[in-house]
Amino acid sequence: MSNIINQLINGIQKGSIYALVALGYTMVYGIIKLINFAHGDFIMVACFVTYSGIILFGLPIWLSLILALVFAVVLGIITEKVAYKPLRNSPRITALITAIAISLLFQNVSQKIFTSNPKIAREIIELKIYHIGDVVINNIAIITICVSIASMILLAVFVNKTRTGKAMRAVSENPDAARLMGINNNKTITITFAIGTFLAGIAAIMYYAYSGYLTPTLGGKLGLYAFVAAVVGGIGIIPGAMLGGFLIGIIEVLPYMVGIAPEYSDIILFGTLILILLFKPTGILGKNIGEKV
Amino acid sequence: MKKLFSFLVLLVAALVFTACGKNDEKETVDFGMLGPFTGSLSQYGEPARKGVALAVEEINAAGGILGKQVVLHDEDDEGDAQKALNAYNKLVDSIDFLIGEITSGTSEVIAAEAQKDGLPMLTPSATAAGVTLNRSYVFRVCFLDPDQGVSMANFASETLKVTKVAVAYDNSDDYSKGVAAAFKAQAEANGMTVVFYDGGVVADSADYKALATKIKNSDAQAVFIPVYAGSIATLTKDVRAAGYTLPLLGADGWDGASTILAGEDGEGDVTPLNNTYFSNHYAADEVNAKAFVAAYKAKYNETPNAFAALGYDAAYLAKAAIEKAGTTDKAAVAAALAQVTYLGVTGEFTYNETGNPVKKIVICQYIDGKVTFKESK
Repeated sequence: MSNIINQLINGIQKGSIYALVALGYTMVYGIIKLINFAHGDFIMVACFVTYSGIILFGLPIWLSLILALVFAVVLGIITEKVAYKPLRNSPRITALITAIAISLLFQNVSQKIFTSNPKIAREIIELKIYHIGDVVINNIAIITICVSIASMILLAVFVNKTRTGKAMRAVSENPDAARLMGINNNKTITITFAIGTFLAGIAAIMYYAYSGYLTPTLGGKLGLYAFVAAVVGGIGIIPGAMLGGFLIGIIEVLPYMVGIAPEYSDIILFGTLILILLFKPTGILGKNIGEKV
Repeated sequence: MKKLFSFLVLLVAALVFTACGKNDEKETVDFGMLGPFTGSLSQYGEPARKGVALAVEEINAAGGILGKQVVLHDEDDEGDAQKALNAYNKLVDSIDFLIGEITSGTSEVIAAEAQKDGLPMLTPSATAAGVTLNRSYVFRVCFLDPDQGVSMANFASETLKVTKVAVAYDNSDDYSKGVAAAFKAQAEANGMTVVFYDGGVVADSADYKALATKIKNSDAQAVFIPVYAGSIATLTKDVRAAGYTLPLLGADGWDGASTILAGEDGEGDVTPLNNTYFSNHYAADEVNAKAFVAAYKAKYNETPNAFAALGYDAAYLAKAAIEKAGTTDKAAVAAALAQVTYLGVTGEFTYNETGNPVKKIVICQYIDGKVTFKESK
């Protein structure tokens, strides 16, 4: 029993990382209908900024983390202005391909700078392990889970309760009507992107504390799993990303919980995705809204 | 005009003939080398290249082979089979001897070509059995995957005296699978219990916390995990954080794990590697290796890893074979290599009929991040 609970904690901890990443995906998709495949690579970049700050330049940890967040947001805004804005009126597939190109660009540039040899991050939060009976939990797990839940709540409040959030939803629903109402579409989309990459920065810090295994391609797998999480939960829906993230994290450790061969974890994971797409294409929390004609 | 034309024709003909003549009696011995010198496998390929380059430099300084200087043509393939094939095709007509490739998968592809073209090929480090099988032109410097599993299982039962072991490996990697299977078979033959046999160690994962919890909750007295160094750095960290302090065992893929944990400034925490043992090709503090280690350090200002030692031995084995044959004729060199005896950095070599060396395996131990010679098994 204690094994099941311990593995469940492992799953939720990993899931909360996926949830944080999925929040960024879902947020950008929800507003501008762009699947930003470079999202995972923003996380990678922020991780390497943190690593450079702490280990290569010997900066204090807090400063390195702030730098990573700022760097991610600035890079996000620049990317949006340079790569996505000119494609605003192009077919959606063009923007998607551009996102993949950005992802490859980031990966290859960091490979050039940092080489592809894996790097191991140092502790940014001192690891403390608590034993409750046979159940083992550590402070980083607790922090990761709290940060992702707090991010979700703040994001939901921001989108639903603030003026800017209202503008974002308006742009999402009908960009032309929003412009007629006096909303600055470009500014709103830039803000969306800035928030998306800020979330990537937060996810990067959590990943850095949780795993610390850094390679220029880390965004690929992380991004893919988080994307699955966003789709499973219902893409564009903020609580859906959260739910999807936790679900994917738990599914990943499921073979360890029930004692079957761990090789099956990806089979179960992507099998779940296919089942959900077959029976509820809009995701678990998705609503079936007929396409407007 | 006509005169000018015939003059040009003559000139071209003359050039072509000189070029041919030069090719027939080459004044150099040409070694080709293939390997991943950049990319994620460069931690294996680049040291091997440096080892070969050091040996070639020493050979040339001592007068070359058969009185001719050795020229090394190295081509980076990034560990990609298609790129390796392109590089091979570029090299094949101009070289006398091929050193490489470094990994088993890519070597398999290149070995098939080398056998077809009748080019002697010596891979420093491809450990999969199939690479040299039924290929009279293909040899290797390293031991075979299963040999390491057997040695480590014997080490676990005879030296560590444990009775319950667990095995975790990467099911998608032939190397990992092969070593794990041999370990399990030998462990059971030695009367040990294998408490679990898990294929879920996916390379380059963000974490191995679920596996770490499983190891901690099992009653294994030692765990054998034959995967590569990148994963080992994260894995040992997670396993130790989960509270498992008993021995972890590995194979030659572990070489370099402490460098990754130590990081650029060398100040990272390497203590997760304490109480771990792994089979390897050589140990820098072992007696036959000392001169090589000193020369390598002098040239590159770093400690050679096993791949550097294997590359170094590969170049000297090529020299021994060509000298034994007395010619660079490819068939004669391949036949001579099969008969060669040579005391190298990675052991004392003789070859069996399948192109595999017959030698003892070194077992190393990590002590505060330093690879230390434990015993030969």
